[in-house]
This record gives sequence, structure tokens and C-alpha cells, in this order.
Amino acid sequence: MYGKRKGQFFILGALLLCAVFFAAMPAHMAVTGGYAVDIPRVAGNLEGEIPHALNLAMLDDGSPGKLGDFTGFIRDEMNGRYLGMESLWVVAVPDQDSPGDVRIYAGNWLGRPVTVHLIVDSAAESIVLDDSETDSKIFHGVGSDFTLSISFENRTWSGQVARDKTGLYNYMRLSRGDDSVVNEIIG
Amino acid sequence: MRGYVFMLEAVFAGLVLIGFLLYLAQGYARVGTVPEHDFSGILPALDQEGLLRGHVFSGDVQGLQDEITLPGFQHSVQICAPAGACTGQVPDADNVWVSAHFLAGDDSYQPREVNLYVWEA
Repeated sequence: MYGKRKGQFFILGALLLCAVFFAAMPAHMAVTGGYAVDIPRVAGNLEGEIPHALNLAMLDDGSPGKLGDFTGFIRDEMNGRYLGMESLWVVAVPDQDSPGDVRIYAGNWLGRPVTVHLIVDSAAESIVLDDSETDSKIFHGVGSDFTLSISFENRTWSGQVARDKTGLYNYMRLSRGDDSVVNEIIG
Repeated sequence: MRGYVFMLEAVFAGLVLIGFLLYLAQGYARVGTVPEHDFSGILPALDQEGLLRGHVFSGDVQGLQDEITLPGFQHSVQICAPAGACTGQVPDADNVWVSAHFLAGDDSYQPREVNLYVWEA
């Protein structure tokens, strides 16, 4: 008659049945995805659109408040696509009521609290920001062109800024898994 | 007979375990590395040519869809404002590729996200 069946044949049979089942599954699973190449495209999109958002915000009420709204909107939408975004921006705005004064705004969308150190020529101030928060400091008696230095975490930027124009510095990092793009927008 | 029962138990246990893991991982998948077709440049190209913003800020989803031709593929467009107010449809299809393009506004602050969905015909 029949000899004793070995247990390993039943284990093999179970594994084969599982393999057949899961080999057929991907053909029936709906997947919505984007390729990793989209990260540079999105970075390019925002490199043009963030300065434009600042211009529209300044036209609206003379402050970069709506730039913060736009940054938060982008980050929320990107999180829904498993694309991480970190952003910190600094905006220098001439004080319309006090010629010679500059108000410098900072907005933090890094996802964590941060201290932003600002130096205008030789005057120094610090702004402590929670995530999704903006604040500002005013600098008095600033020359028509001044040197603005920005430092936060382990990043530093320094450049010449015209006092009577709105100036923008934006740090942005887009990431998904091991892929990331880091951008600094100066405007 | 007992061996067959053990085999079925092992199959069911494997199905339950792996099915649970797949349920956790569903919804989004990184698809390959370099794609045969790269759709991510379509919306930026339309924006550069000045063919995007007019449709977006007037809410003209159909007009924007008509600007895009993709032989061998179907596509749809969705225009979304903050707080999830969207016009246009998300397709009910398998293996849909999606690209997003952000706009801050035209003459005034009017943030919009434009989504392009592409799938095989």
C-alpha cells in the first residue's frame, strides 16, 4: 500500500500554495504611485512659486503671512503623497512707517522647534519658533544695503540685501525614503 | 489525513499574516526607478507655455484636460484648493500614476494644487 508520508511534503505544499496565491495578487492590486524622479520636478515648481507667493502676500496685506499659509498647504498635500517637506524662510521687509528700519520675519515649517539667529550688519537678534509658527524682529537704522546673516541648526547663510526691497531666503528639503533634494531660494 | 490538515492550517496562517502586512503597506508604492514614461514634466511644461494658469484659476478642468494628449494612456485632472475643496475626478482604475503641481495665484493669492492622473487605456 502506501508508505508513510513525510511531513516536509506537506510543508512544501503549503509554501507552494501561498506562493501561487501571492504571485497572482499584484495583477489585481490597484496602485497609485509617482516615480522618484518627481522630487526634482516638485522642487523646481516650488523654486518659482514660493517667491511668487511672497509677492502676492505682500500685495495682499504688506506682510508675508500668506506665505506661511502657502507653505503649510504645500507641506500638508505632500505628506499625503508620502513626500516629506521641510521649510524655513526669512523675509526682510522695509518698515513703511520708519524709513531706515527693517522688519525681518521668520517662518518655521521644519516639523520641529528652531531658533533662528539673525545678524543685520552688527546687530543680532534671535527668534524662537515652534513648528508652523512665524514671528519677526525689527532692526533700526539700517543702511540702504546691509549684510544679513541667518543661522539655524547647523546651517548658515549670509548675503547683501537692499533695505528698500522685500528680500527672501528660503531653505527647503524634499524627501521620500532615501531620495532627497535640498534647495535654498534667494530672492 | 492529519498532514493535509496541517498543510491547510499553514496556508491559512501564511495568508493571514502576509495579508495583514500587505494591508498595512497598501495605498502607495514607489514604482521602479527610471520610468519608461515620465509624466512629471507635463504640468510644468504647460505652466511654462502659459497654458495652465488660465484654466486652473477659472476652475476649467475640462479645458485643462483637453490641453494634454497622451497616446496610449487615459488621463484626468483635478484642481484642489486648501481644505480639500477639489473639482475634477480621481479615476477608478488600476495602477494610476499621479503628478502634482502647485500654484500660489495669478493676480492675487489663490493657492491651488493641480493633480494629473494617468493610467493605461
